[in-house]
Amino acid sequence: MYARKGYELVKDLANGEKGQLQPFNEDLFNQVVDQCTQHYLELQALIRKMQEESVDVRETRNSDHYGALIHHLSLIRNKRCLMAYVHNRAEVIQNFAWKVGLELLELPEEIQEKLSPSEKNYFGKHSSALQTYMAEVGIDLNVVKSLSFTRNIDLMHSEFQTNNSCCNKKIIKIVWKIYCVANGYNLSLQIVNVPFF
Amino acid sequence: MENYNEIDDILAEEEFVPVVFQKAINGVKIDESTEKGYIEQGSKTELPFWLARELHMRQAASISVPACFNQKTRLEIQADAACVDLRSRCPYFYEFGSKLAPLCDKTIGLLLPYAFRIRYKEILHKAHTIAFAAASKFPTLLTTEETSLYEAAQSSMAAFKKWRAGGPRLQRASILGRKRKPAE
Repeated sequence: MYARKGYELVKDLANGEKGQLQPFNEDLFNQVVDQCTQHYLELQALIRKMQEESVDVRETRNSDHYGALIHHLSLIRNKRCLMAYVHNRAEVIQNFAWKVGLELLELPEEIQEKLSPSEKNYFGKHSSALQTYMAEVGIDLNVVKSLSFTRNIDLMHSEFQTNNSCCNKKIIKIVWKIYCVANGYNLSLQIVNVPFF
Repeated sequence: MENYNEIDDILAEEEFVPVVFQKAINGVKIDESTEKGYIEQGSKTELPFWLARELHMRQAASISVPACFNQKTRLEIQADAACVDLRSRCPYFYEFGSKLAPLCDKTIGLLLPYAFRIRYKEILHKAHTIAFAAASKFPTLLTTEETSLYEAAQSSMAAFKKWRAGGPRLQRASILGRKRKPAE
């Protein structure tokens, strides 16, 4: 069936749990690429046949034209499936930087095994770009995952006399920022300079 | 194309629709079981929607209504939309229907909001009241779109209950969820 392999690849991605990464399906990925080549060869053969019969390839709408069209559409479809597969995985991988750690070696081995070499490369470049940016701006944006920071926020609950149950995390974060700025604490050093300990 | 990379959009377009070829086509083998490498004019088959749409737009094939929008389904939806098993008919009932409606049958456009209005109410109601999701038959009737609504409603209810009880505020990152505990 036409462009079926691309569909199988996307299905493989969709079957995994949201936010969870499946191992990179190298085998199926290559099969899709092979199928693309196959479609391309058949497309070329049909166009060549039309040229040999010396009909106008651009204008004629004969049975060969529609055959070539179907192969062309299948190619585009397979391309879309491949792009979606890579793109959606890349999004999950980008999130690792925030949720797990900025260094590739920080990632647990189970996750590293699931990445393809180019995905590892991508992750490395993505996090180094992030690190450069944070160094330039002078703010550690990656505070959310830090446990000690969350503990500080907990302490601030009592500090600001707010009721635990109706406290909005976002408000606390903003208050914490204002507190740091007001006291002259560098935001990136906040975990060291904890005022409550 | 704004949904280019969207998985659900790709899967919805893979649903099959019955088509009748208006033109003869060379060099393709739609049916794997036959040996012949061409399609005759007037022959019927089922194609995935993405292909059928393009052929339809070029007047090479005409689309007819697929089984999941047939008269029987419509009658069932009119009787009690909330009890119809839409998942087994088409896991992307709404997505697929809204793509299909302008091409073959405009009345599908009326059917979809009618079905959704009734089912949405039921989904929200059930999501809050069903205690044991595994024991209930209801979630198995839902389409993919409805399942995500159902899960969203359930998780927001759970989050609300947790917030009221003042539960722990630290959560494991979801990607770490599958980790096994080290043997002691």
